Amino acid sequence: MMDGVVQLLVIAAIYAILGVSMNVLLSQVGIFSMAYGGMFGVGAYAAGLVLLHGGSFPLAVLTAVVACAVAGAIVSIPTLRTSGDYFIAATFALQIIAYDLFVNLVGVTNGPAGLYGVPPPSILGWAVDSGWKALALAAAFGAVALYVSYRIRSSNFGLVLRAISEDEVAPAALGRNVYGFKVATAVTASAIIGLAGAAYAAHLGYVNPSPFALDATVLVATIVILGGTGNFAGTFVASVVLWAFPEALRYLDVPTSVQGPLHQLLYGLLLLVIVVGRLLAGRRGGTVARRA
Amino acid sequence: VQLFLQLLANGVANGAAYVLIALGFALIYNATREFHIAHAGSFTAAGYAGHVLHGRGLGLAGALAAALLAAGAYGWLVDRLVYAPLRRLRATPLQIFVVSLGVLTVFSALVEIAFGPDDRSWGAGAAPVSLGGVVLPAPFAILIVLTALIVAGVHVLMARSVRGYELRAVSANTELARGTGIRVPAVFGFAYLVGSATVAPAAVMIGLDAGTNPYRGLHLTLLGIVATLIGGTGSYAGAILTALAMALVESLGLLVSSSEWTRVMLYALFLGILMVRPHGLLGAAVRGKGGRA
Repeated sequence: MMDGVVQLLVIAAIYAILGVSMNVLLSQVGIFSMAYGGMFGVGAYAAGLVLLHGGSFPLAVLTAVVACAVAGAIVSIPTLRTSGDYFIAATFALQIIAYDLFVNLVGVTNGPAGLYGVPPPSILGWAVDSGWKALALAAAFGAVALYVSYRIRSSNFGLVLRAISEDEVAPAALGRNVYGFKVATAVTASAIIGLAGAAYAAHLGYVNPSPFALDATVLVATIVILGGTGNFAGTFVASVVLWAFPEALRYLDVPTSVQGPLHQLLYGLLLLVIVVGRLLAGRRGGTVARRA
Repeated sequence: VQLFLQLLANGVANGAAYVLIALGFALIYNATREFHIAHAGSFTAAGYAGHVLHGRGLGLAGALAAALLAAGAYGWLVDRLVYAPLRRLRATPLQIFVVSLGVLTVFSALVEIAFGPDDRSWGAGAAPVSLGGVVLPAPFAILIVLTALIVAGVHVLMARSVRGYELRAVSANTELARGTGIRVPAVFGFAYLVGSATVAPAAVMIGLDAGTNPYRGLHLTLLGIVATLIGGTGSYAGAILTALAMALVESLGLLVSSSEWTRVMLYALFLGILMVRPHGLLGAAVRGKGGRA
């Protein structure tokens, strides 16, 4: 029982890291990425491959972070000069490309079967060989993601970004490079995804394509909206709540074939209800950045 | 040469489906500038409505009529029940997008609970149509004709009818259109109704050929979105031509690569084009609509 709870918390912490990354994009730049599943996979496969070829865990993390940052740069650099709609479409395209590569690039990814036997993480001789240690590691990664996010928000950089989310022309008139700030933040948010990917590959010991489909983006979005956009710590609470829900469903007599769509139904309803609810409550500030 | 012609024909056949979905998305997007990702649901609604009525022995015409009604009703209801209240609450484009994603997720999940996740076959198909050694499944031959008719029909609608004029006015400049007394909410509703119904023939013919499942619509919608953005916001011809070109790239890509790589090639090409022409191929540097920029 306790083991199950610890496992759940590890996975929830990893998805919360994804949520923190998306939260930075939504609240600081005011853009939405469809590629959370695909980018998460890029990080997980990059780390898994390094570990399988005998690389150390820190090297695997670094590789995952760099791979995700590069993927983020590819979609951000051309699109962030234009409207956010182009960013959505580009990240959607990236999602499809990444998923097709995971499934079809059999020589590297081993196709639908995936990579097996990824060794558990070990940092300078400290082996992560129990659930509690895995939780400590995931929490440490989460702390890094939170630290980076709060630094982005509270730095000069972040203040300019918040000015951007109100009005792009004013900071530009003051000589601020709006485009440069947006790209830098989007690339940093992508790098954070690499942390989650590496932690996931090393924790589970295998990497296959199924968790990296488009569904993952909806789950991460639900986590962020439930936790509150702009509220990075709330993202962790929301992730635990949403991961506990499937467990609760298991104790009710729901046929397994319906469980998947039931989760999706809940996530979709939460997205709808919370966004509309916030609008009705007329709250400003911390909610999804207001851009006309 | 025979292979080339066959691939060309396949490309045009798929292209007909892509054109309808792109045209539907463009009609809605150009008027409202809302990222209606739930557009995928109109394809799904049309597919299952057609499937159910076709199964009741109502034939192809009955299935088409049901699909048109279902898709149009879906789009119109989403606009009236979800987006219209959000606009009154002054939701941001980002909030409308997140809600649209929520609508699509809920709708797809409900369809999956009702009909299951797998392809539903419509039963034995008609004999394939053959012309000069090039063979196409009958549904796609019909679809090419229907698409040509619909594109012409939408053109006439936009060029001749009062609603068409209003739609173009709202697409060009919403605030100015409002100022001249056009009832913008009604025009938005009209755009959602027509844009969603446009998708229906593609859903029926693809259903006849390959079956209907809850998720095919999303991928097709992405193709339509890409065609609309690359074709240049505000340009229907651009969206239609880009959609056709995308299908040809996909199908002629088989000459140089195998089928599992065509999607990767297509979207890599899209990302490449964005790097060179961030606003799309035919579009000028559009920054929102005149009234807002």
